[in-house]
Amino acid sequence: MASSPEVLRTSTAAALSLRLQPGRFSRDVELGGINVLLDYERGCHANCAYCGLARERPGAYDDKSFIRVDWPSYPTDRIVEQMAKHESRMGRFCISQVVHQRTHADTLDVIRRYRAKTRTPISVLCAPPVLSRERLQEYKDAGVDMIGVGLDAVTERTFERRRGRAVNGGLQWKKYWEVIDLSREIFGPWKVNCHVVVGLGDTDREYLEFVDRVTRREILAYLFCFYPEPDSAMAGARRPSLFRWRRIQLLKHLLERRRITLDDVAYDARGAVVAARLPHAVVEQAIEGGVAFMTDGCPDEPTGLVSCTRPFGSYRPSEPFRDYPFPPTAEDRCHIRRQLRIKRWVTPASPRGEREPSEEARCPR
Amino acid sequence: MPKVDRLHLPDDRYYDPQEHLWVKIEDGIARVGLDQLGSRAAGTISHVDLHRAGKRIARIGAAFGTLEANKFVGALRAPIRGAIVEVNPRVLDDPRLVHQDPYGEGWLVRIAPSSLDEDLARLVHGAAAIVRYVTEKIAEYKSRGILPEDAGPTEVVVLH
Repeated sequence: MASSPEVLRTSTAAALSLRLQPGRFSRDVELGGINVLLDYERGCHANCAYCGLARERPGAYDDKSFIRVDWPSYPTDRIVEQMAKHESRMGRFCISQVVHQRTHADTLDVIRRYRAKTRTPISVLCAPPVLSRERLQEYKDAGVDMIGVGLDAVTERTFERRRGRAVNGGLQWKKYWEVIDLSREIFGPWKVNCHVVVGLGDTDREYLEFVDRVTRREILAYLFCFYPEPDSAMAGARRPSLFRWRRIQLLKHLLERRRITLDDVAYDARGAVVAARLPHAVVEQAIEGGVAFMTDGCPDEPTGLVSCTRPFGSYRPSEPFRDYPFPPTAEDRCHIRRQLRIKRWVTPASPRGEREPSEEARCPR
Repeated sequence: MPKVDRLHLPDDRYYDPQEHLWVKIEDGIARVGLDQLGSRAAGTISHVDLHRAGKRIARIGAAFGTLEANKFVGALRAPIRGAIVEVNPRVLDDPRLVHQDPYGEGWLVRIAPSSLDEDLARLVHGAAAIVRYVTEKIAEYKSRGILPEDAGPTEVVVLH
């Protein structure tokens, strides 16, 4: 059976976008951010509680879903050919590593094949256990411009519980941060991102403090919404409510843009947001702008807009959007307003005399 | 040499070219299902939801359920008017049947028609018309990226 570097797995969305597989997207979403995953017969050596590729999740590795859907396998050269053929509508190519001894050499091999045929930017979503300063530098020298680190948890407590000793996962919080620090040094400001998954056990306060901390270091935080993979150790865990998810999206967006500070947010004893003091105009601008509620991901060139939009990645097409893979429409923004329930937790800090339009006026039923 | 892809369509039924639904008349009752091109164009079907037996369908195009694939959800729109007399419980439990056996075990609903002759007249029927419908749709779907553009020629096989 072939393995990387000769073959790669692609997300279902990438396979559709590259015209490798029949099918379509709801709402005619266009996807230019192509995610591929290194593929080995014995799979990933880690054992994260929420991950579809976890070592101890039942089933053959090739049949395992990942982030809700199948990841079909294709010859690497075929994927590269399709990337080159559709270059005009492609925005980014992201190679996801798995914890495996061949990961580094195979990543370089795939990058070289890719670079020989196309100029679309490349990210590596790295596997810190197999990385070092030298290896990260090799990626940069080979043409990678962004590094992602799937930290997933924002505290050592949750990391250990979901990825470390508690699940016999073998991953180390300290090593992940070592790679984040090295990547920041090598790749520069706003070129390193940390993936964090809302719903693994960290509190609202911890997420927002994390966002504030990494933003100060010019590192990007990419939010993901937990979706329980069947048969994984967290198969029975609940997803964050839409109310919680939207609130974190909004506050993260405002923190990143320095429109608010951590002092503007109040929490209960369990670390959940209970109140925030936000200027009315700032909230309105964020909702109407819509970016706060779109997918976090690496940008394309030259527009700088998010390319890795992962349509229907953490929610079914029949469910409300968690993160929008396109700018939310007026109707979408009405849904967002209802899901945010602003009046329940936001204390307006509006200029004196400013009147707020009612929800009904904005979103007639 | 590119692999020839085969699409099968039995000629003992009527087809709605917009919705990719087939209608087969059995003892005055219309059995309805998704044709093979429709199941491919949707992607990997993960959930099927159908209205209950007894539901009246007053107009052509009224929704009688939804079909959800990994990255797509869409309404199932009735090709004929009448009342649903039976839904296929097996396809609700195992939506993969729609792909695996689209003209057999993967059927969706049975409808007692109210204006059968009039409704059938607007559907595609007969080998030549079926081939024309599918060929045109394949070309459209390849140009829209719904079917792989370089998957090789598709042979439309009309089953007699």
